[in-house]
Amino acid sequence: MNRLSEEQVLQLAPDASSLKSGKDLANVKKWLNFKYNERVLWGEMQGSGKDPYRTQIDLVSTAFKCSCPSRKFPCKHGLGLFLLFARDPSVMKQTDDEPTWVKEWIDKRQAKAEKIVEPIVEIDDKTQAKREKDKLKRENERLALVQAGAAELELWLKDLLRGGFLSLPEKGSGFFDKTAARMVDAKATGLANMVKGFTKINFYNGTGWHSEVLAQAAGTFLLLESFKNIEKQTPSVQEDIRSLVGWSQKKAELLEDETGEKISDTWLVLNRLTEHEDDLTIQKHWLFGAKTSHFALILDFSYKNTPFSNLLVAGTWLDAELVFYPSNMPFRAVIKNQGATKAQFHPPVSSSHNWQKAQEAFVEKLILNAWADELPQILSQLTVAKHDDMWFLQDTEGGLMPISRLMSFEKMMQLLALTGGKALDMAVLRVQDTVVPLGVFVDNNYKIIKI
Amino acid sequence: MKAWDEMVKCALLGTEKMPLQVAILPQNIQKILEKTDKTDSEAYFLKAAALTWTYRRAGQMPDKTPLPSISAAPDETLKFAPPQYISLLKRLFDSGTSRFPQLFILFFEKMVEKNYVLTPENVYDVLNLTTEPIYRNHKTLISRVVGERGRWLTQFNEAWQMPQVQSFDAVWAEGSSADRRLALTDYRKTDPEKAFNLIKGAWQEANAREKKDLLKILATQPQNEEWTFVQAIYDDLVQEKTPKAITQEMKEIAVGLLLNNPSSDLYKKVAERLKKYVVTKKTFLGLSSKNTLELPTESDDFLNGTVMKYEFGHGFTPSTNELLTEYWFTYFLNRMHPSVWEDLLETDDWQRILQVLEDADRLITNNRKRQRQSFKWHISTALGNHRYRQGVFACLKTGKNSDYQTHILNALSNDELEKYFIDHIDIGEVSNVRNHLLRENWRWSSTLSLYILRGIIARKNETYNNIPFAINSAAFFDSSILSELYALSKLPQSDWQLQQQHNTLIMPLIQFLEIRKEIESF
Repeated sequence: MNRLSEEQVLQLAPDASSLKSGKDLANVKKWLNFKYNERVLWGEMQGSGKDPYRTQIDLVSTAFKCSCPSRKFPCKHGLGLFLLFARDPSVMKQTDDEPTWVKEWIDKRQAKAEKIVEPIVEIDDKTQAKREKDKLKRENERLALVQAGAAELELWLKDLLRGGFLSLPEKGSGFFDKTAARMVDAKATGLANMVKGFTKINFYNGTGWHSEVLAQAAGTFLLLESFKNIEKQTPSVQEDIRSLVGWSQKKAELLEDETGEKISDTWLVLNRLTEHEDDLTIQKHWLFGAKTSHFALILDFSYKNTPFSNLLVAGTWLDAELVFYPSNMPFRAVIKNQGATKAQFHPPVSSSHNWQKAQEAFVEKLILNAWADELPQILSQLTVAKHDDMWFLQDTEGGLMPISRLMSFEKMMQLLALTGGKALDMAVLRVQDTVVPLGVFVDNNYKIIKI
Repeated sequence: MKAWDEMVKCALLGTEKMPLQVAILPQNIQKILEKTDKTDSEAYFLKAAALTWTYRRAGQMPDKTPLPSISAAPDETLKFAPPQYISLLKRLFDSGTSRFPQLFILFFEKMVEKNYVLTPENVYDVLNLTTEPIYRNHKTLISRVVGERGRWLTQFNEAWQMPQVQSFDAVWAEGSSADRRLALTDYRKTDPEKAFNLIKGAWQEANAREKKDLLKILATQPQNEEWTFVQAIYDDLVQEKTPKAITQEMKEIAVGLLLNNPSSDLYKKVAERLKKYVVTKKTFLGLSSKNTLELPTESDDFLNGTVMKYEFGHGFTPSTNELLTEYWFTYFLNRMHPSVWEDLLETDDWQRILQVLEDADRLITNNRKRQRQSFKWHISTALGNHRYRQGVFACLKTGKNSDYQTHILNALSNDELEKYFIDHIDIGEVSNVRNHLLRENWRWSSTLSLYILRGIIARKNETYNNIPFAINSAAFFDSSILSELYALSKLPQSDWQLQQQHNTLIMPLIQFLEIRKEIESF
């Protein structure tokens, strides 16, 4: 059975108000009934309507269903019931006798998990030829637009350089947003992201931003040059360049693609980062495969609070088959088949022995993809060290890696509280020249650091 | 990497002002750039930067300047709290740290009782409580529950650190006057004999203000030999022909102490001088006699300004429309041990004593517009201070609430107080007596809890006053009222006042009592 901790259940809340409401509903007095067995948890709660809301939770692969009208996912009823269960399952009756409404849902889910039947739609040759022609036309039109955008961006970079970067802090984010918007118009969203990268630089941290601005400009120019010379690259490098410039492959297409790289493993969800950009919420989950030692990034998007398609819980293990986006360095992936979530699982985890080895592994990734960043790594026996007001992670041989200043005081204290100054295996995220600790292995249990 | 730093300088100033010097670049990069067109200097620079950026990232090696490692936290000697404790702690944090601090304290006390410490994941939030004013006095308790890991963590945040407790000797030797006074006051509670010796030793060297402070320290429960010391100080003070203000202040403190003690010389002397105001009157047929009190309307040889000033340090003037003799008499009513009236009036019947005071009051103030409290109100100060139960009960039996100071209720036991509240206090008047309801370590009985709750619920138009009182007193309610609260929570909230009661009183009380019940069940 999948028995998540209270902390893990709370991660599933789609927003703060659902979190609060869910906590309020984690009260036995608020439920008319609730029961569970090895595969499913269900309960009924009297809402404002005539009939009680029926809430169901798949305990094997963590999924929710509720008859309430909420568009949030999971809804507060699902969260409340799951939280109640996480706190103390002994308050609930365990039974194999499932009501029909529960049995139908959970049976259907299990059947779906076991066999995915793809609908076959037959298309005649003429229609197919027309579709391909239209597609090619659209692609050519887009390519022309992107090329024009890339040329404009190159000019913008050169102008910026000619005048010097010293005046950039005075320009404000609007200056960059304008150029980023031009790139969006040119259907080069990746290039727009490169421009937005300038706005993420902290121009008020002394002279630290000087090097960061040049690095951002260099990385952008490298991409523009690579895009100009894309035909000279191998197909997998071409995929990376196209992806970085702004072409994206649809998730459904990727799942259908038989040639895509697939890896089945028990994956440790190393951590989660949620970022907001206007109406868009981006969720990043970093995964680590216990058998294959492969790392993966699951990106999920929510526009105006629509539900995320993946319900992953940081700090748990997950049986899943991942399909990786075509790349010279396969890293970003989607979940093709999701199995059981395991809150308690302790396989041996392979790790780099020191920063030297970790750096070598990182360079191997850079050879495959020059823009690679935000890559997770697992290292053994790291201790926290401090020099002046900078924090470091130190390996057993004295190798040091600075901890990103993105780590707030609170998070640093949480890291210290977990480690207690002892040398522990840790998962970290390489962010430029620094690291962000993702989690620590304490007595074989993986504990996440909230980032 | 020097080349990169040089390129950063060029980029900051701009290629127009500071063109790139190719010679600074690594040989490998120079070689790649050989075939690049140099006429477009910006493109050339950006290409060089792109190459150098990649070269630099790939070649960067971790720093190997070992830093002194942080010493590891000691291993815990106590067990970690079970998951249900942690779960409850999280719910407490969810309800806010300032809403029910009593529950946090109760929870921590339970942890200490059970010899548990918090798991490392939770020490940060709990340590952070010590930065909030309401928890500052509980740092020691918090330090205990955060365990070795939490105590180790305090080294990284000054705000979490426990105050360094200086020894008494150190404070006494080097502390400021205020610190010395506070330390000596505390020290007197544990070693009164040594504290008294220190006061005696410091007396001669002390200036007038310090002497006043030393005298104040003796004001709480003086010990036997201290009385002689205070009397001697008083005797010295009254010798001053033209007393300064500070002398008067000291005199008043000493008088206050001595009049409280029936065996002191001053007490005896004053009792003797008060005798002349006691008049024995025969009853109608002359078969029995009654002692009554008659105060002069004009100053006499005792109740006069000079005596009051020089002997008692009492230099204030009364408010308008008040007889001076009456005003000075109240000075003794307030301060003297209540037993003096039993001796003077030759009765231990306090109803009689109160009646005599009331009659004297009326006699003097007849036809006057009064702006002050009665003699009964003044004697209640002394009765309350001395917890003089026989007088207190008589006061409560005979008078209205406005006739006496409510602090006489301090003389009652919890059970007596509860009965008194239920019999005499309407919840609408609770604001007058609420402090008495909040006695330390008192859990109201089920009956009193219900009485208060129902009183507040019934007065829905006074929720503004009563609800904050009920919420601040949540810790005093008995958990047995939960069933009543559940029933109330289900009633329709037909108007905004009921809705307000539901949201701000009933539901928070339910939450509080449920959590408290859970903590107590651990």
